[in-house]
Amino acid sequence: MMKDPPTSEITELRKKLEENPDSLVFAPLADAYRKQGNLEEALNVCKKGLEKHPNNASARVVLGRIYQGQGKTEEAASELKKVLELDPENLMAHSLLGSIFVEKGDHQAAIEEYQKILTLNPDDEETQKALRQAIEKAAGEPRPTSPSKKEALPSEKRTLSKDSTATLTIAELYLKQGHYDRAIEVYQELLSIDPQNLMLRQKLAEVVERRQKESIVDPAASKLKKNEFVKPPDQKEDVLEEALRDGKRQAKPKKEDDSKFTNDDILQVMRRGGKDDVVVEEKKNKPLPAAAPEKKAAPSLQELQIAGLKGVLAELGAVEGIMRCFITGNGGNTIVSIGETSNNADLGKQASAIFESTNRSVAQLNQGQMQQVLVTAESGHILLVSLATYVLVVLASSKINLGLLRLALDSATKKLDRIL
Amino acid sequence: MDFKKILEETLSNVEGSIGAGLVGMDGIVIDQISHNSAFDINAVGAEYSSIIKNAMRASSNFGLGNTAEILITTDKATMIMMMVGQNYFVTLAINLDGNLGRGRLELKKAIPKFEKELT
Repeated sequence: MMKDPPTSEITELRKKLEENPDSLVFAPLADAYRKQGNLEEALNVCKKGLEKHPNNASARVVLGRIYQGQGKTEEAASELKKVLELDPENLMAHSLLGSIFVEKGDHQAAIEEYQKILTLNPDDEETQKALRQAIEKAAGEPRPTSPSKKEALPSEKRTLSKDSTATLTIAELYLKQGHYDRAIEVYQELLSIDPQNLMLRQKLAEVVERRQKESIVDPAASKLKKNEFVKPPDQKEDVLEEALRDGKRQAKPKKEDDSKFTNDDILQVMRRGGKDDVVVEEKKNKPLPAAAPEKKAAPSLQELQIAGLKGVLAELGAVEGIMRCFITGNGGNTIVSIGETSNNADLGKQASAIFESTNRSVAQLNQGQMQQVLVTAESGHILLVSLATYVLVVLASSKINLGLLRLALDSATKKLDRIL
Repeated sequence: MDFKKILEETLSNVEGSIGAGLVGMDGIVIDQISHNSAFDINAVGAEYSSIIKNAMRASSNFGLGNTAEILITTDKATMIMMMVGQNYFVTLAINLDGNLGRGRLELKKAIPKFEKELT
């Protein structure tokens, strides 16, 4: 059988490898051969390269894929395990290993691999799907296609069955990762199938309480109203309502992960923006900001509000390293400003343009509601913070004490939110 | 030129990464990789380019020099964009629980590799 001629990619990579036989280009070359279907040459190139670079995780992933392509699942699994010894968080290796375990019928091992991926990347929809399938297979019963809560047969007793295990597992994973909204959605869905399930109700109440304590003010919280919750007909005391009633403001605990950041302070600034300090009571009494990405027209501000905003900006501007700060409305009109004011109109327009472009891209990527944008340039930072229908623009020197900036910004955004 | 390999390597080294892409300043995506089907940089290349251009103008107007990096925070994720030479940029999206510091470090390590391939 004739082999396909080398692709331009293969020719180019081969040339590079000939020029520098010690380079790491052997891994993409082997993968290119694999993609072409020339597994024999792929294996040859990959093995030779690995003799020189035995600890190259990417090349070992390629070798695993080659073995998998050859149907040598044992060898493939062995290579991928070596990858995970070198790099325990290699998602590709976990994923391939999961598929190999599925192939071998070891669904429990596959589930473990998929769970590891989802622990690292909870949004991976393909892995979520693979996990569900693996759990279904492990349970020995296929999940019904497109189950509809309302279309269930009248005689059908709607209780949780084996196929709910997948969803419960995913809820637990969401919970473990702190994705409370998603966990809540899953529990609510399960409760709509089995409203009498006290375990689920208890779990839902716990998640709601945890979110109350730890989350920032989240418009999605407004979805959790009593009437949207399937309440057991004979249960007088609603645990969810109780959890909401008892929810008290607590300081957000510092995550262990924060210690991993190389630029802790600025990332804290980016992530918190002070909004997590808004108390729960305020959420109950004050209308929540619109969840839609498009901004409404900025309402006109009263003199007292302007004075209040100026006061807050003056405090912020007093932080060493902050060169200027101002608030812009729609179209970049400056509402209040502290420090130098030249170019404010132009800069306001650019800030608005950055915000609009960012809003559109974030919406298209399904990445939630935009909060902040930090631009780092050669000699300073520009920080743009979303404030209702306005944008707070802060210009800071590159030498700013980021810890101080964080504290000042937390305090300022809280006050500005209240005023606006 | 296997940009995907560099992107794949970057993604596999960053906890909580969602997707990454190499994009031209004209908004055309050179290559991308994603762990989430909803995260398609092809759909937003032009918007990303617009963000970078506005940030560059703002940095220049503020007298801060050239833009090196942009971080966008949403309630779900953080997106990092870093310039690769003058005509391209690389972007990486990470979950809020992901390791953002590692993400920035890995992107910085990837930039010379892209630059080498692009010259």
